[in-house]
Amino acid sequence: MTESGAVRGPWSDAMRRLRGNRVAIRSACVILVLLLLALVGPFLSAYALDDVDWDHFTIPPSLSSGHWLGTDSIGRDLFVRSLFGLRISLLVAVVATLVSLAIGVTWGAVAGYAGGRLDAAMMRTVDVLYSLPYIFFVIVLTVLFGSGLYLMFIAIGAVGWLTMARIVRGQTLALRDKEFIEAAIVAGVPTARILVRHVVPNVIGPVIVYATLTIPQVILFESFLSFLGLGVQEPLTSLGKLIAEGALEMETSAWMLIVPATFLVMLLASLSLLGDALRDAFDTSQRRPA
Amino acid sequence: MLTLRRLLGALPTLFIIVTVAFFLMRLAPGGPFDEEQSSSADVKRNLEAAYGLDRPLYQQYLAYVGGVLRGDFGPSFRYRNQSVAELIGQGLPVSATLGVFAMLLAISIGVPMGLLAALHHRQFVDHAVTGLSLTAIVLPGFVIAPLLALVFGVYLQWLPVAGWEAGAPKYLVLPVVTLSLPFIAYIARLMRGGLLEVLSAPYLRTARAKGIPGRAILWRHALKPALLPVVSFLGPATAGVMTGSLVVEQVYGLPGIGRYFVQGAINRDYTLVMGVVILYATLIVVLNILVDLAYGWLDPRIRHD
Amino acid sequence: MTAPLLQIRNLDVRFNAAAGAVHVVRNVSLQVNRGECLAIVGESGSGKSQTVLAALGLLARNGVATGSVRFCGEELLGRSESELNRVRGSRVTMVFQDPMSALTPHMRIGAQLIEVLVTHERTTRRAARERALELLRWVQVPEAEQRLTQYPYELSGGLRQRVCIAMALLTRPDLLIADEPTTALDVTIQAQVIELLRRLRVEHGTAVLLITHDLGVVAALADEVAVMYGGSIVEQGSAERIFKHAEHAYTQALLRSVPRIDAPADQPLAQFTAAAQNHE
Repeated sequence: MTESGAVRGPWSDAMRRLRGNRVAIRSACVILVLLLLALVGPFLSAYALDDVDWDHFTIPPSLSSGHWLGTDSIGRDLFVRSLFGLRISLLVAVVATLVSLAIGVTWGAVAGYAGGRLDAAMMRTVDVLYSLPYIFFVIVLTVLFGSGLYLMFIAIGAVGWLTMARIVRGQTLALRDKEFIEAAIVAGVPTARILVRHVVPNVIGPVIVYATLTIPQVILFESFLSFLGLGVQEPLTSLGKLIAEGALEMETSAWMLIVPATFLVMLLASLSLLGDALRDAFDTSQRRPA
Repeated sequence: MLTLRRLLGALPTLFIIVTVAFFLMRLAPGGPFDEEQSSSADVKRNLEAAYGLDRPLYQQYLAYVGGVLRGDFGPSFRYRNQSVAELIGQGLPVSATLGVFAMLLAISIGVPMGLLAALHHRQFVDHAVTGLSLTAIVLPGFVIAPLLALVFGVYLQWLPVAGWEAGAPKYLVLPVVTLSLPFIAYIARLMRGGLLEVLSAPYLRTARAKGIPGRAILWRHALKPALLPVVSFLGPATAGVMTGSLVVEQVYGLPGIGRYFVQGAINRDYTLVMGVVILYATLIVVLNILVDLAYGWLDPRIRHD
Repeated sequence: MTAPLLQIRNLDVRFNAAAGAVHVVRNVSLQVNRGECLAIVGESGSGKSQTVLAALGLLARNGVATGSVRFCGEELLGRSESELNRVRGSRVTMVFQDPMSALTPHMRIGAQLIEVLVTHERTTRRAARERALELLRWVQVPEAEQRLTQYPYELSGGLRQRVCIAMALLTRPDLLIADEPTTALDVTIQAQVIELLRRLRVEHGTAVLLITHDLGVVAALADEVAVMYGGSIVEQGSAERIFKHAEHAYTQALLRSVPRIDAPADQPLAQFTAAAQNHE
């Protein structure tokens, strides 16, 4: 209790620490700006995603032509396309993370709660799947089921749940032996209910932190695949795809590469920094200077 | 012996991969010939017979597994007159050269960087190294690769932008550097962290109390345990190098396995894709075993577990 | 009277921590004469270890020591690492409290012993190895030859501590500093270590600076005693006088708090409540 009598839970502690962290604040601002741009930006420009401007092929950024960030080799406005790419990146990040969360939390909670052989079997599966790089799995999936946006959601999410499962299982194991769970069992609460109402809320903390840390990884992943041509397909575009297109033309039109690359790096950097700050803020074990 | 046990333990994983590979290929929608609009039904049947796709599933499976054990991954579905093994044989030297040089570069720059940073903790060198590492980690390979090519190939014209020419050195420089950059950063960070932790260990104080000079303390007492995090990173690092090579080979136009793999994925060339996956999986398993062995050498306590 | 071997005068040790400076050793003065055993007694946190660490230049990075520490007349405080390395490990050696963490886990015992001799004396590895064996036998480590090739984790706690003592005697030091050498060991092993230290004094006349909180050890070994509390020395004198006519309240309480085998079982142990020290 502080002098004012206010109760300090772990959330408010973490939020306080976060607010004091300048890097975190700045990163969060950058992310918000990017989000706003992604949502609203395309409406500000006169051009649509696919509009081919026959008069202005491959022109560098200029204010006068209305193409603020230039055009690509078929005359499509780069500002709008980059923002669309940003939208896709963010969309994939959110949906794929939710998919990972759903699978990972369920898997981990069941394994940790059940214990014994079921736990061992489930975690062994995780171990085996862990031993190979994600990328190859996802690429195999694209080979089999065709690339595209929906595949991105499922493939990336389906591969990213592994660590989530491990974390949740660890937390569940620790919780399982606490008295309030025993009390619930004795009171006859059905297992599913215990899991949902008692276990999950208590493991949410580290899960959220980890989810925030995975979002940049997921974005990177999707961009990587799109760069290789295995990600989102026409008519959709993604930052990775734009970068690939830009790389092909970079000898003559460097801005085609630099514009999407800058957006991507800004997004990744601010998300990583914010994620790190969040993780530090929630790490109650170490610092307590106040 | 310990290695044998590890090897045996890894075999089921590989086996599962091969099996899953096979079944996924056969059961997935959209065969490799679906895009062949020009083929008539007869031609299709002939092709399928040639590739053994008309035999019962279990026969195909056994044939595949047998082939894999002999190093035969079947014919490529796309490059009709070449087997996957041939294609891999062509691409492997390129990718191997790239990967090995990249790892060597990463270790030979990352380790000293990390050491310096730890020894000058909280001073300028430390901050510089940490800052550089962060940037290298945040910038993805597929962004750095074209940018480096842009700067050094197009603007400065010091190095060629693409091509291979039987591994002539100037074609190697940009790809190797690009591939190794994030790993230099990771290794530097791990080395720094590892050494910082060892530096506060009690047995270093004993060594100082014995009057052993600083350099000898670093070399004899501190280095081995400090290297542990770096060594355990080498396993995932190899996987990362393989992944990174996909991009690097694409950007610099190198005829390596990574490029074949990506093309195979785009063309839905099943056998090629699965063959490469099996190859990568085997490499990772072997490397993990090597890393375990190195670990045992660095920390004697582990040997006897 | 000969000059003292180790003379500490007005030693102050502070640590710069995030919350401010912590003053762990306050104006400590003591000395050890040739062939003598001085015991520094005190509870955990009294600053006894930090005193000794400061004297040898082994403080943590954020520690600052002021005052004077003279060994054979030579000032040690503020000297460079390489200058200190001439004295440390050769003429003044140290044995630490926890033998498990004191030995380098990934180096063989032999290597850790031999490097002391190779560093400080002009000697061949073979001669160094012989000397190491000689000392291992002196501290009664069985199968000494085999031990040389073993790693620390392969030895029991008692053996490890004996190896540490052997390591500290390789160069025939003038002064051996032992920081709680028996604390991490069980009672039977403690007796053996105490016996070793006694033999050391009797057979070789090596001076010993012993840090301990165990009064039994003090009684068995010490000529002189310094009692520390809260970073300062509260009482100093010969062992005999301290045990028989302790003057300071803390020393008296300390002596009283030792459980007696002949006291009734239900008698509570004596307690000591200190007046709060003013911390800076």
